[in-house]
Amino acid sequence: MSDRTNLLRRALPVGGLLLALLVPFYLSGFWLLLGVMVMAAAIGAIGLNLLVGTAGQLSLAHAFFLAVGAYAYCWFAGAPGPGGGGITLTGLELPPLLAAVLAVATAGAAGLLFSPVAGRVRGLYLGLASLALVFLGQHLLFNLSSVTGGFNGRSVPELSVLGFELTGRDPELTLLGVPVGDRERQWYVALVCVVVAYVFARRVLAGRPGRALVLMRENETAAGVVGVPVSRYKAAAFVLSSMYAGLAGVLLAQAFQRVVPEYFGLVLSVEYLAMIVIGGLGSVTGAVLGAAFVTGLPSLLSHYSGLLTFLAEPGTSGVDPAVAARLVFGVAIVAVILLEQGGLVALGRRLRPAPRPPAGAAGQGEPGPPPDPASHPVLPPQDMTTASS
Amino acid sequence: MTRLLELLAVGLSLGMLYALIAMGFVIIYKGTRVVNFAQGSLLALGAYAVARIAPSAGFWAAAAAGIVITVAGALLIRFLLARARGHDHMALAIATIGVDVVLTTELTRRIGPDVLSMLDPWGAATVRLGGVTVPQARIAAMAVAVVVLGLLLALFRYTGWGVAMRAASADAEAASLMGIRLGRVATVSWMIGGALAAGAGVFMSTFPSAGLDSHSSTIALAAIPAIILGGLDSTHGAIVGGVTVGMAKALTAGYGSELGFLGAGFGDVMPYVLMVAVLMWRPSGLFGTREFIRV
Amino acid sequence: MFVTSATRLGTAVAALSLVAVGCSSKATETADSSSGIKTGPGVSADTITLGALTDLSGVFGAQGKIIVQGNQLYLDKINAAGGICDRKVELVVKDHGTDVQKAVSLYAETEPEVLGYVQMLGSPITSALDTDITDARTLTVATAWSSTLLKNPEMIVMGNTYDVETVNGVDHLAKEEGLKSGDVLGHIYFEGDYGNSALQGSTYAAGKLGLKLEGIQVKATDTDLTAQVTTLKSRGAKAVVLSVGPRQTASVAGVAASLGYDVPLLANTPAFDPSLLSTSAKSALEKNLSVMTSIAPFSSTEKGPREVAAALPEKFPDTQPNSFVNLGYASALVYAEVLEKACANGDLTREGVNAAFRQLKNVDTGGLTSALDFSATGRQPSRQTYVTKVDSSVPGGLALQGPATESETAEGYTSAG
Repeated sequence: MSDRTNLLRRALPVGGLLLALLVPFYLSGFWLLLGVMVMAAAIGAIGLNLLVGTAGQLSLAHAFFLAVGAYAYCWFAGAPGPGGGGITLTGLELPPLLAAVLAVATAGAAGLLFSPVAGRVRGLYLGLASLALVFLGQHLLFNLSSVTGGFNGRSVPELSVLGFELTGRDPELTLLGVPVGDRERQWYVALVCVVVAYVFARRVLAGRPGRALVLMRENETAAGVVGVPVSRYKAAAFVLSSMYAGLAGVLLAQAFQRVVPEYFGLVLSVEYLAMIVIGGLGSVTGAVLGAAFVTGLPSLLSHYSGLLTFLAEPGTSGVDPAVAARLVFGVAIVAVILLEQGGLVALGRRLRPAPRPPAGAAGQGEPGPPPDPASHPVLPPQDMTTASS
Repeated sequence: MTRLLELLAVGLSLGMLYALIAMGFVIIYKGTRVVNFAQGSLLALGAYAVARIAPSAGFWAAAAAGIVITVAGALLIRFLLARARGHDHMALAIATIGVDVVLTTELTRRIGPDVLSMLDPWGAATVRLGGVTVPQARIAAMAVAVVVLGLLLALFRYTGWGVAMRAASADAEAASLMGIRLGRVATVSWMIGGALAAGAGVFMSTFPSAGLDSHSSTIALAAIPAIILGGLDSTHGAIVGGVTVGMAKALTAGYGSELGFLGAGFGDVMPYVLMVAVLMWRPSGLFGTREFIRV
Repeated sequence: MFVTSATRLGTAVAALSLVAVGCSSKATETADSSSGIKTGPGVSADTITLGALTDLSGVFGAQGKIIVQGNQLYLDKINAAGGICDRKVELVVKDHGTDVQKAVSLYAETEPEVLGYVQMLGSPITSALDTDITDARTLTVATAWSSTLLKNPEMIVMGNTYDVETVNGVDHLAKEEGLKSGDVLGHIYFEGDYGNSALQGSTYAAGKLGLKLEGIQVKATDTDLTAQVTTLKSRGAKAVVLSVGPRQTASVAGVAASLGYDVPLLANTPAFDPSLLSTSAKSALEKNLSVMTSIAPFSSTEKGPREVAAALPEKFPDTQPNSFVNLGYASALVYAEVLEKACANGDLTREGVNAAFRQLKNVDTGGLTSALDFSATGRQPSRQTYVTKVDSSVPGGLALQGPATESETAEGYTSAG
């Protein structure tokens, strides 16, 4: 009996992956794009979760690191030439794959540059200080126009290897009678990235560094005493998280085909924070679920608004799908923190039937992760200041 | 020279507004250790209530009603958060972001295209002080900030709540063991914070601003550098921080063409630059309580 | 052993799915040929579907809503008269809330089912979707007037862009107010393509007229513009151009009045909203503010604006009128002209629609805008601008000061793009 549950546990990821590989053969461009955005967001959220959920360092600067990844890619891979509004763009015209790697490295370097502040400033002060990066970042995006294209943004070169576009349409490709265009290819690229990012994060958390980060979060002094190089680990968490954000930025840039500065604002940072809270602080799987929820919800509500008769037609007064999505988003954040501290992951675990009935669990399609080593959020034993009498 | 003087006066007038906003954040933080990210939408809620009630009831009655409504809103948040007993402050701060999203969405929908006027008694009137012009509304804001600061100092010193608050903010666990009712401290802090939000909301929508519109709640974000500069748990720090941010914004905007090399619109970024610089020097702001780690 | 079982299971799933792919609906391209008229995406035998990608819930929600109402009013009129090409015209409205990611996803969602877009609001949105619009060839009305929009062959700009608008405005100001060579002209503008387009115009006009330009950039979150006005006053600016939002306009007017700084103010289209007339800045606005615009004000007595004024209260009685209804109405009118032309050409595919669009050399909107010429990419559809004055006694708050005109100064001007 336990053989069978074990088998299922192993077969599920394989089956899920195969299913993901097949999706582009069935779904339209809209769904594929949504999937790419969800996967990119998942990567960014995993990164933020390493920093906030696991290492316990609040950051509202994630939008900045996403921007660094996206724009660095455009600059490394892009061609110099005239941009809009009389701006002359610069660019290195490196091979796109190399540019992507460099962009991720650049985001990591930006994280390293900020880590002295993170090493010195703590807790909520750090969260609020990191806001500065978002505002400074947007100022730079608007003003460093030879790199960023200024307010016009910059068009994104396709990711390609030896002339084969991994995210574009050239050369044309048809598999089993289904044309594999840009959205299909982006899906596969994002899938590879998200799988690698997921597995890597799980490995990091399960190993020594993960345990050290959790210990640092719970008690920094104790961690120092038992020999954890605290400031080095703090910096490393910042760098790793920024690199994840950078990769998410590169992928989002591919999906957008043009990056604009307005996107990388505070709202984006807040959305990423919401993803990891809703998904479950400290859990890699949670980050993925949270990303799917926050990124997918507005599009789903809007797409199925015809079926949801309680929503108003856009343009009339009343609650239209976009307003509804925002309200659900806000309520979900509050509800998770008040009701289910472990987020969607904990909810899923609670809903999952006990492992005894063998066939039932498979039908649910639950990801069924082994218990995360670090899935318990920051919970000091008791917190007197906020407790009511 | 007169231009510098004028700009400093402008900065002071702008700074008074930030100070008032910052004080709301600080009071709530001091009493509960929660950074209330919903403060921006509470400002807008207060101003919205005033704008809707003033045409029929007059400004002062509307202001009173606005304060009551905002305090009620703040208390609602306070009791919501209390349900999450045992959570850390980071999680609670994030929860207030959720509240902010909900409240802002609904207010945006209600305000629509309008720029709502407060119908306040100050209007666009100004006072000339030693060669510079200051709007009366901002003088009123300054008076409110100073009076509230004085009241708070008196409260801290002479009332049981004040002692409880100081004890709670120094060491919550010990205070609780000494029989201090932290729940009451939290309640009163949220009430004062809510009332301050209503006041700040009104002054953010009076002259020289045009009125309340659907973008208004973002102004609370501009006060965040002020809070950090002064220290999250320092009321007079909030005033110093607010005025510093106001001056920094006014001066960088006024001398924008001389500072052109920093990029257009640097005035909006300047407070954040100052904030990070101060934090590198003093990690808990200028007047904030330092965290000590005891081994 | 588990591993091999898992592998076996995986192989089975893979084999099954390969069979399944054969049945994928995406594998077969459906080719459809109907009688007479060539059709493509968004056009069926009895309907033409147009999209509106707008902001109804975000920061520009209010403007978006009223433009949608304008679109709807005209399409109702067309449909009541039998539609276009024997087809009803349907509008699919999607709300992006000025969120770039949501807009990109909504575009991908709606693009396959619409012919084009009768409205796309928000300059970050149009910038982000620039490439997609060109690739998919969805003819789109940009609900903005940035000069960068002119480069895109699939973009409809309703009138002249902010730079030409500003050149015309500054020229008008110089004539009316007697600005002389050497005078200082102030310009407060938003960060982004709106402000920058306008700045290009004021820079050009100042150069031509020998004025000294003093520009100050602000953000949408700045609502107390005392520092900016104080600075312009101390620099001795004789007039101020405003390329900002309504709240900033009111703040500038109010502060200037309180400082006794009595100079003419000149605003671009988005810088004014009639609700400002209920604020304390009302008298200052009435005294000094003129608005330059490609769209006739709501109170205009021409045929088009009268039509709108008659239709609006019937269908949307709660809407406070402003010139954005006219913009929505005129956009739908232009789009309908394009579709009529494409129908006459017998080609309602996207290529056919674009070809028809470029054949329109003189679209008469009944005085909602000046006559529009769309025959070339990169060229201003019109170089004439309306001058309006603030007047609280008329609906919409703006009164026309005469027909739209092009200034001499603007004649030599071409947008940098």
